Amino acid sequence: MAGSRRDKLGSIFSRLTGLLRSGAIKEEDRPIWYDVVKAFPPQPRPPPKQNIPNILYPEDFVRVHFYNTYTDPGATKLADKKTKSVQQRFVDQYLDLHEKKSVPPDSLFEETVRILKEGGVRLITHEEKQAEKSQMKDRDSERESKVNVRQPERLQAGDPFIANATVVSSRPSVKPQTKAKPEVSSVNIDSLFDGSR
Amino acid sequence: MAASIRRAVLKACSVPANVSILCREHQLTCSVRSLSASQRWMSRVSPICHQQDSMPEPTPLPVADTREATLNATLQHEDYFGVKDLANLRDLFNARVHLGHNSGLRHPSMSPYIFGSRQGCDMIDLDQTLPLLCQALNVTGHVVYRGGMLLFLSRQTQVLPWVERLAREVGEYSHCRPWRTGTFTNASSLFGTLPIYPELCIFLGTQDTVFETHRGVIEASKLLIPTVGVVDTNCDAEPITYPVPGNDDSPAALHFYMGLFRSVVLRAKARRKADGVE
Repeated sequence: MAGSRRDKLGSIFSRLTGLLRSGAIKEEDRPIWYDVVKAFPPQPRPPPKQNIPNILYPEDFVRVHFYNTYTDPGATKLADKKTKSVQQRFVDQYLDLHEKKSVPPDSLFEETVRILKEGGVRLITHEEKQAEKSQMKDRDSERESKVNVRQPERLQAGDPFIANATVVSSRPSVKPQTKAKPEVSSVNIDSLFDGSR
Repeated sequence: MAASIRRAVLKACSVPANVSILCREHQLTCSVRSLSASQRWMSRVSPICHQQDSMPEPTPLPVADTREATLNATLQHEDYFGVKDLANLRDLFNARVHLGHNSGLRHPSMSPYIFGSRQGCDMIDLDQTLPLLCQALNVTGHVVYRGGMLLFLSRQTQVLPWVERLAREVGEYSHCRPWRTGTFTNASSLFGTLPIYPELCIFLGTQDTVFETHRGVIEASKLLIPTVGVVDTNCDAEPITYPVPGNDDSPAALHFYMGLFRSVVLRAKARRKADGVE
């Protein structure tokens, strides 16, 4: 096509208009798009924004407060749009109470927690979780010390194969303890949705 | 006989894939030979081809005698292909068009189209996207209505089969492979033949790699070819004639755009046939 190959000056429309005006391109040879772009000119570009605002919602405050106090109540299924997560229920309850204004603002959080707990939700604070963890650790270390006491006796037999066998055989005794773990540590999510199903 | 056939086959195979996009006589799009099995499967199951489309009847045009007069009359029409019925704000939101990139990757030219930053991630203002998208679709429809050639471009491998399939289905052209510098500007020596250029380039993503703009954007601008481009918050919207601010990474969003372009091209072709302007 005739014309300069500069691509930054003006727009394609203004450049082609120049070519048509100067006679470099005849009116009947103009490209198909020319009339279309003339009829529907591109919208002028808005001036650049200096400050892009942060998007914040009132519920963000509630969520932050919730996560600062309680541990994450478990995974959320994003594809499931019917059941609400524990966090979402908490936020909805809080905002609901806030709107009703029946509860003084200072005790809104405690009141929400109380209502949720009555509804069968188990919320675990960070302190409780920490205490539970340390408890588990103590139990584990007790067990280890027991195993360590036993091992030397059997190693004295002198046979390395027997020593290995004792290590393997000591495992099953640990297992029942680890099985009991999930009951204690995590929220029983199924109990939340029993009513809805 | 056999030798001549073999020679013909060899000749056909040695034609570079890009040639086909520039010469109307050749195959419509690049061959699917180099696709992996999973990509071919994806292309088969993509629901683009199953969409049903019913075009609303436009308000009747003033009676025109010549082809030229008919074409001019359609340009007076505000929405001749009914693109405003194709998309609404809710559709855009459901297709995740509003999701931009990390704020650190923001391109200055995209700042007016950004609604805000949520937790360090830019959100695109769909109130601005919708009219721009409708205008881009309208222009696409008019170019097709007048017999112009479209070229769909994308460099995202994930949706490559969809784009090529879209182009094949609507009878237009696509280029989704690495762009050889000079494909437009030096076409005659690259392909050894006089090229036919598209009338409109539709970029479903204006980035070539994550760092640089698609070379086709610049070459189209040099050759006075208008461009429609989906620009994400990390893209340069400046060289695009009709920028559409929106997510250009999610398959859901790309699938949405492709469905729109497919509808509008098919509508324009049907209208073209009905109005007898071929």
